[in-house]
Amino acid sequence: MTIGQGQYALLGAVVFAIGLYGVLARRHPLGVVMALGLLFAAPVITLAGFTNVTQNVQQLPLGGALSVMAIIATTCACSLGFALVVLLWRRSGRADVDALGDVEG
Amino acid sequence: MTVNALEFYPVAVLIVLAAAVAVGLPSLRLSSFAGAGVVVLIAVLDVVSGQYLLAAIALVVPGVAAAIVVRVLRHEQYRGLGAASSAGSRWQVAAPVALLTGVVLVVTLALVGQNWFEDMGLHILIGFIHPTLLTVLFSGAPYALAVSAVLVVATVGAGLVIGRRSADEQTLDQHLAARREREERARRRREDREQGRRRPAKDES
Repeated sequence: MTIGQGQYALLGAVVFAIGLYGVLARRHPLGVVMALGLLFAAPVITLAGFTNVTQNVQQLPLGGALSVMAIIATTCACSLGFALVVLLWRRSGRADVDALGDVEG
Repeated sequence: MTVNALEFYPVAVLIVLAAAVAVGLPSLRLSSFAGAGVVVLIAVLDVVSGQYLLAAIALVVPGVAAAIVVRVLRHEQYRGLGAASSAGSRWQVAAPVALLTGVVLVVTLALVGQNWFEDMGLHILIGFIHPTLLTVLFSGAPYALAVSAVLVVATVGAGLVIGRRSADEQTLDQHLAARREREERARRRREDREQGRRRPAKDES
């Protein structure tokens, strides 16, 4: 039995759902950022599967190119999220997403 | 390249388990280890798929970011931030939403099956050489590379702007450090005095 893009997409969907659970359930902002990274990893998995869509050797690995962009975008988003968490910690001294409402500009 | 089911499914199960552990554990430290495990397993999945360069990028890019995060969290000022832990206290809301989203996605994808893609003959764009990821990034899809480069530069700039300490904070930190040093010196002087008082008493006895 060989694996096609459908299996990759299903795996991506499951990882996306788990990441979404983490984003909604976690209270610690670093936990939320980590879950967000997991959520964004789902399309990377799916795109990686799309590189192998056909057996044609001339096939362009466009899925791979998009995967690279998605990996970099995910890392950038999580890094900025971490920078904001650090800022929240410095301003409020609390590590809780509920503390976001108490922070004044 | 064909992907072997015996290689794909064990890695897929491990990815799902590691992801579940990463969001489920209350300890942030253990969760981050599980999150790192997910990153490594995705790279393994890329290797299983025969995409070695993608696997290297999937390891190196998040690895560099993780190293910076660990370095920041080791700073004395942010130790409390990394040590804190929180369980998924809002699971009553999160679980049904995630479950519903997952079911909708899985059912849709299962219905679509393998009919995702048609070969549109895009290989004509770069001729008949065997295309690699690097060739595609530089000639077939240069916008992906350009957007990625802009994202990295923007993130570094924004991260530095957000993360830098203002002049007020630096002055406050200096004052706090000077105060800690003064208190430490006073404590040492006090201890020395007390030791000095005890010594003659011992000599007399």
